[in-house]
Amino acid sequence: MNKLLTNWKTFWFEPVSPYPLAYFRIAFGLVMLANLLGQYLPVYKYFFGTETLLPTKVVLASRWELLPVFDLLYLLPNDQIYFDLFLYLAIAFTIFLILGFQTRISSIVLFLLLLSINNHCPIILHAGDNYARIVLLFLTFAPSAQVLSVDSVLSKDKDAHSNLISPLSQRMIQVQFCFIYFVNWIWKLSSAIWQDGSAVYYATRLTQYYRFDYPQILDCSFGSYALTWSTLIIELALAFLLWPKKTRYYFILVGVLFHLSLDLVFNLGVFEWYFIVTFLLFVDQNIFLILKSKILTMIGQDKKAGVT
Amino acid sequence: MNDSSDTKNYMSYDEAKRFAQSKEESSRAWNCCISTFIVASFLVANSSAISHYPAFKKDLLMKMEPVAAFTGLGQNWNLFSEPRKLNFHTTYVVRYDNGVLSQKEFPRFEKASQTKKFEKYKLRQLYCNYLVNPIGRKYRPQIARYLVQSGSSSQLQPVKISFDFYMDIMADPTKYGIEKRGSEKKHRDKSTIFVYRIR
Repeated sequence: MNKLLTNWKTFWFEPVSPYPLAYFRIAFGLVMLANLLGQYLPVYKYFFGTETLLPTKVVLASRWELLPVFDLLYLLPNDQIYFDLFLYLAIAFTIFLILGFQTRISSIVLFLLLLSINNHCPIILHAGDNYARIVLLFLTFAPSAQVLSVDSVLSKDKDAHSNLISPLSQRMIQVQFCFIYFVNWIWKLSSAIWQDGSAVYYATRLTQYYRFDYPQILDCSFGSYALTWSTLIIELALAFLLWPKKTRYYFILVGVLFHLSLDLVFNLGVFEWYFIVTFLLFVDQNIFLILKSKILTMIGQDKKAGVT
Repeated sequence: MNDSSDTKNYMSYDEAKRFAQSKEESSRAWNCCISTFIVASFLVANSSAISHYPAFKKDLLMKMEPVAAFTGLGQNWNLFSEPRKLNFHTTYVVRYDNGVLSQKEFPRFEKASQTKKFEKYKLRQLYCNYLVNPIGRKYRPQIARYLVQSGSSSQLQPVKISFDFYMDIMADPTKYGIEKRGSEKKHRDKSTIFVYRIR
């Protein structure tokens, strides 16, 4: 019992390296920026403004059934320019988050702006938007700018990079991440087409999701069954096997390849990328250092080879 | 040389653990407040995720919906758990007061370029998920109004608009094999899903 309690305390409260969270903040911010610039901006006027496809009153009555929702856009004057500025403000604060500039304030403001944008027109959201909103809330409380940030450069504490940080928010994002795999796995397992192995066959023939070509070798009955059951195995494994050190790196690799292949086959917006960047939270600082020194060594060798 | 000097700028996790201090020196009460808030948010978010499951839908979803709506922590993670077994597209036909008919397609994402697919992704959510499904029924009159307004001019006044749904049901896999990806048939079955008359 004591050991369990100690493990619990270690997991939730023992200070950790600030680097994985800082890398995650930057990568997460970049995906968010791609979402805002690439997917919101081109169609923004259809859904946000004075002459929209679906007026706010319709959304409030139909989607929210007149429940109270947090929506700062509702308070704006009836002029398109204010609505446009609102999105540009969200883009600006996303850049601040990436740079780690006034990070705590930036992340809080960005969360409120994003919550308003999401609540204002929830029928255009994809799973990535919902995931990003929850992660951003946890990130708001995370000391994510202690390193690799403008804040850390401007800070008087020049030894900040050697200070450890509280892991609570990071752990929450990690647990949330694994919980999603688990919930998704349960849903799939209770579905007849996942049980009989045909789910991937149907999913990969939905033309609206087509992205790139599907490997011919997998486009057969066996391939379809194999992919369906391996999806179930991978999702269950990602819910639990990212935690033990012995299996962690194998399953980070499996997870990244899994989401990359889904992103190549299915057009799912930036959803897969939000998940891919979350794996950074599971990587130890030592791994980043090893990778960095290997890259530097390779560059150094290339330079030498170039000279000779 | 580069290698070792760069590595010296950082500490390994174990080194940091031995030599460094935690920067977190906030008061116990503050830490407690923050922790409570984070844990509460986590519980709300995940109760909302579970509430969509059939076994809990009746009791839990009704309770979670107002909380999820206000906090924005609602989520539902049944991605591809029941993929559709059909491909479809939708068109709309506008009838003008002089009897002229005009038919247009809602964006078809299988025909779009990769760039357009990315840019118009939010429209896909509306046209492919909401417009054609029962859940989106309540939005159809508003979409029709928007299309009528954008298509009317001083010479031509629309009098009716209808949404048509064209589909093809996928062949089930058999012991003889499966239908290859990319060999989908044309959407031959048609049904009118919505008609809006302008007074």
